[in-house]
Amino acid sequence: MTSDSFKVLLADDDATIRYLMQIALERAGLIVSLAQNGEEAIRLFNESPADMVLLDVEMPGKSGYEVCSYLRKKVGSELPIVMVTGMDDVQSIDHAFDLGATDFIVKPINWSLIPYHILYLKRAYLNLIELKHANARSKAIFNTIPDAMFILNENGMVIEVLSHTPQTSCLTIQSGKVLNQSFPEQIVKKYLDASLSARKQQRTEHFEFQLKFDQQIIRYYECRIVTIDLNETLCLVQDITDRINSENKIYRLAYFDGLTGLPNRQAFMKRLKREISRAQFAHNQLAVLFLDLDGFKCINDAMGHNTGDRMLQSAADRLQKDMRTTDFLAINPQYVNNTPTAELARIGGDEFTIIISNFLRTEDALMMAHRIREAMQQPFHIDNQDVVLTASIGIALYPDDGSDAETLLKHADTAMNHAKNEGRNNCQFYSSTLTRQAEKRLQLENGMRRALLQHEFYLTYQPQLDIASGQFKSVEALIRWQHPTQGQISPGDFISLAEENGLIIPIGEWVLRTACIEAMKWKNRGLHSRISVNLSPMQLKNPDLVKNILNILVETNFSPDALILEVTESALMNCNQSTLNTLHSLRRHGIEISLDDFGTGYSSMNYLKHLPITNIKVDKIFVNGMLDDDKSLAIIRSIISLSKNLGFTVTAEGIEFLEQADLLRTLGCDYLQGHYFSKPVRAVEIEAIFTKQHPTKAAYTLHSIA
Amino acid sequence: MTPEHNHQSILNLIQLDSIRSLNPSNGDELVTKILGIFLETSIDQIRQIERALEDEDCENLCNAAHTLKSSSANIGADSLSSVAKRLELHGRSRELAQAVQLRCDLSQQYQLVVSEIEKMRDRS
Repeated sequence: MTSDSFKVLLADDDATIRYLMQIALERAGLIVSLAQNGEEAIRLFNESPADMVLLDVEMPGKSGYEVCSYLRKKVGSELPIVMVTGMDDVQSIDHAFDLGATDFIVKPINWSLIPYHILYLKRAYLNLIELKHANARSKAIFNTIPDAMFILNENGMVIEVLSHTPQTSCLTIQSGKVLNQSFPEQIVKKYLDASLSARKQQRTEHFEFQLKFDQQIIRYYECRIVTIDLNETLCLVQDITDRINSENKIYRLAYFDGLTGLPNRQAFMKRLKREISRAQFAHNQLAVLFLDLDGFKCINDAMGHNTGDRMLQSAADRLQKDMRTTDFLAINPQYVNNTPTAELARIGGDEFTIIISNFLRTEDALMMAHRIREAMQQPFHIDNQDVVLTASIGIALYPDDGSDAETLLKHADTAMNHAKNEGRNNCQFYSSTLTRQAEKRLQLENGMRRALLQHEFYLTYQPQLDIASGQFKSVEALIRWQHPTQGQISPGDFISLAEENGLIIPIGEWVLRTACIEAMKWKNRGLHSRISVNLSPMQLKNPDLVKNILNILVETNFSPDALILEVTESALMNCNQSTLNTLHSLRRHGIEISLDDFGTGYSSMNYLKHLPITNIKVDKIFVNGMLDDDKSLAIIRSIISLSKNLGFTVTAEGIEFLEQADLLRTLGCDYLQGHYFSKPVRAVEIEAIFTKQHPTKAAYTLHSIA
Repeated sequence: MTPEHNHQSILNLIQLDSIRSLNPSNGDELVTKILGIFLETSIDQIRQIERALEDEDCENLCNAAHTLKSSSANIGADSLSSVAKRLELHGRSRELAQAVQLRCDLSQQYQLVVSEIEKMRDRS
């Protein structure tokens, strides 16, 4: 059917009507066929279907109603069927409507209007057909789009599902259901926000979301939302799982090494750049370790590439296991709350890199490097044989060796080559000075660990004279280290390192325990002496300090009130509440606290008032100068006066001359310590010094009596 | 009732004009043709009505009267159509006695229509 060949079938038993209707319809450009009754109408229609049918209601034989019912059943709802009936016969009009008639024409027919009436109907029908085609075309389009398509109202209810394809079958979208019945809350919110935004901005909105099915399968979706009108939006949901998976695969291929699964050079450079920015912001150091397997090429050549590949996989596995960041805790207990991170990558052949961030000391990076190097030395079991490999590792530090990723990597590579030149199987910093320094410190550190185990430490004691009684009544315990090959190592050379690496804790405990044990031995032989033991800042921060000290006192049976702990002024400078609590707790147990090196640090009068101390130790720098420097003398005088007023006793150390001792006694000092009386001595000598008449002590005593 | 008035009520000219409008070039010819068809077909309907009245066949009365009502209204024969309508209603409600009483009216109105048509033919 086209607009030009529109066929109308008319059934009427009235010859005049048939005649006139033919003229009227042909005038309107329509093709007309005529039937005298219902039966003829059906026959004609079946022979050649018409585009419109006009039926007289009452005809001999089959009535217009019957023909109408027949045609509706036969061709569906679109065909226009117009009933021609008497103007007065409302009942028949009503009945025809129920049977599905499209329109009606009343008799007597106004012949001048009838052509227009039919043309109106024709146009409506053609529009309907056009609409139906448009819908069919849309539906065909919908069917080719792999999206779920539905219309959503402003309340989040699905009004109509236009398309729901196998590709989106995982989604439950049903018309009449609100989205909450099909999606988790946060995704519903995305839909509603995007709908609102699409309506407001009059543009297409889109968002992505993911759904988890059966607790594990994740599918990804993209949703586009277009406004239909004020209340409705069109939603197109596409399953983009395959795309996302491909993207992930591409990402893996681009940033990960296929052989070992480790990040590749690109990923490493990206990561390094990010870590540099972070380190720059936090003013931290960063270490880049460049590791090359020694002699890997020979293995590859001798045993084949397959074995070589398995070798690299095993090396990668071992590296990954060995650089767990928790291992840093073993290196340095200070990392208890803030562990460094280590990131491994394979940047080519047998070259691996490790970025270490958030570490405190360069030695820690070096120690990590050595750990890795040692781990690589263990034989690899590959293809039923043991293969031994070593590694050379170069280390470049940010910011000292370079401030950008390229430079750091280049310098780490240079350092690695340096390590190779140094005979392989070793670790080198980019700066050779740093390597020497760090190696030295590492050796010292390892030496300290060994010293604790192998009893290379020992204590000396320096007596302290009680002016009131003229007797030695206490000693200060001082640590000494007899290194098996390097001889005596000064505490000044190792205590600060022990502070940095945390070894001060076990060393401090060893000092206290040893001093208590030795003092108890003196006591058993009738020699009563209090002991004074130094406490470092890190020990003071140790939350277990009080518990550990009390344990040692119980263990050694040493009386708390015979123990004096010396704390330096600088250790108390940033004295916080927990340190104060520690000090108070020690005092409550009867342990005395002495403030060491007083006058050399910050010497705040304010904190002095709050500290639970019992004694102040005047630093020997003032004692040294007191005889020929008025200012030193004035300071000593003030310190003693201040201490007396605050109720503290005063100890002066570094006494070398009788004159110093005399003057300090006159000024009101309580205890004296120094070479004038005795240098620090081994435990066995203390008894002699305490019991026998000591020449300088005697001289001083006589002098003071006189 | 003046003859002129009577003449008007036999064939409604407005309805004939509406027929005439279907053929702007020769409307009168179309009207003549339609009236001719009416004369040919209506005589059967009149006979059917009369036979149905004699046979007391309400159903046939109803059908034939309905057809006549419609065809006469189509050519503007309103009075005849009105009689046919009354016959149809009596037939439907099976009031034969009242229907029979309309026999003269039917015949009279039909004759008026026939002679009116013939007059119009003669005129043209």
